[in-house]
Amino acid sequence: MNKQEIFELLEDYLEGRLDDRAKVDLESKIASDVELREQLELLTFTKRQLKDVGLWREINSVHETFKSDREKKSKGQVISLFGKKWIGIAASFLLIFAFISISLYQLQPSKIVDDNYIAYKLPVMRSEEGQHTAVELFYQQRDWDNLLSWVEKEQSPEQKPYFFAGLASYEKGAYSETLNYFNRVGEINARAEKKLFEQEMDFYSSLTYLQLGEFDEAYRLIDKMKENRSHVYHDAFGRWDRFKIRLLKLKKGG
Amino acid sequence: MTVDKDYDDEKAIRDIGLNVDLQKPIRYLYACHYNGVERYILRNSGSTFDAEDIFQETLMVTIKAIQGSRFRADSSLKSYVFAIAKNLWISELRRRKSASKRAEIYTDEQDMQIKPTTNELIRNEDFKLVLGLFESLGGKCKRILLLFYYQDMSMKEIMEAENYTSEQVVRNKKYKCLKTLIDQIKSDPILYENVKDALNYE
Repeated sequence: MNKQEIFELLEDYLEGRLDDRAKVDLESKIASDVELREQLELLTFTKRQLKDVGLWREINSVHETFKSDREKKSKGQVISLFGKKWIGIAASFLLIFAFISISLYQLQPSKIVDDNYIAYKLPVMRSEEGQHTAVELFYQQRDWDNLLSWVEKEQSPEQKPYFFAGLASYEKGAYSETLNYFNRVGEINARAEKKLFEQEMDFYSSLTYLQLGEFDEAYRLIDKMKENRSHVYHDAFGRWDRFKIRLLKLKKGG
Repeated sequence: MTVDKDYDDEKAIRDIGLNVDLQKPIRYLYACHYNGVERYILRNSGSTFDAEDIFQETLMVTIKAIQGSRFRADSSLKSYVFAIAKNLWISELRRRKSASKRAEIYTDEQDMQIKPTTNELIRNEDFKLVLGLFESLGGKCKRILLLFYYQDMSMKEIMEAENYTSEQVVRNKKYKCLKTLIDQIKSDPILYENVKDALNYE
């Protein structure tokens, strides 16, 4: 019998696969052979340990799954915490950012001006009916060139011609000229007892500054109109317009 | 990891006893008791790694106790698992010669009534040594030994599953692998001494 055959015989014995005669024969050999008894002890022990190794591996495979599920769950909780609260906030910020970006891209000062422009209307007073000055008539007829020629020719000491010259220049797109004419009105007002067109000039100057891209000045004048509840143009610009002007300033890099 | 809602202690004990599809009761024990055992070990100077090791050892002892009919039907599986885990952890701390930490550990009398026997603890220590020796074997050897001794597959089934040319080839391979493992156990004097002691406990 070689070593493998002895091992297999011992295994058959442990598994109860030997018939009675072979069993008695082997037991007698085990009783007298120390080496065979030792082999049987080691085989018995090793077989049992191998069953434990199998069980250990089975437990270990569940352990690994359990651990991995637990980690996923814990990450999931972090993500869900992050998701529910911070991702929501981040998404809102992204939306706001996207909205601002699109608005900035589309935002033009001329659009704000067009949306808020109020044409100056000549006062219609019964006592003054039929008594419009030449400059007013040119204004009514939207004859900007003749209006401006007339104002330059007349060199009036009064505020009215220069105010209308400012409006005519605005209509012609000569915005710097508008400001120059309004300055002349301001200079006359400074000396005159009766201050004229001050509130009108606030409004049309703000539009002019917007057209010139001087958003700080435009904003300052709009603020001035907003702060004064009795200002004729108090409601000419809303909060949203002011916000858009701030955006224009940002866009310009100011 | 999912556990059936209607799966309970009784079914887990039954399945472990029958030794069929152990994954199910093991998953159940993990789902029900791992967190509690981990909390206990973390509160008593242990780490999460300690908790993982102790729980695995606890399940080994519990399953073998049930299969060896040493599990008392009057104790709940929960109290049994916890008592085993606590005792294994105390033994581990003793092994680490951490007397001061040991004194801080909370145990009550009830826990001490259910504990792994000295025999079980020695076997557990032996097992760790054998596990190390087993892991040092080649992949084919490990597979063939587990298929035969743990999964109780026949030579023919192993031949088919592992693509061996004949049952005799499987038989020869299994013998070589087993002999290698036995020789390694034999060459470890402490382990070999314990083998004799363990067999004398039978």
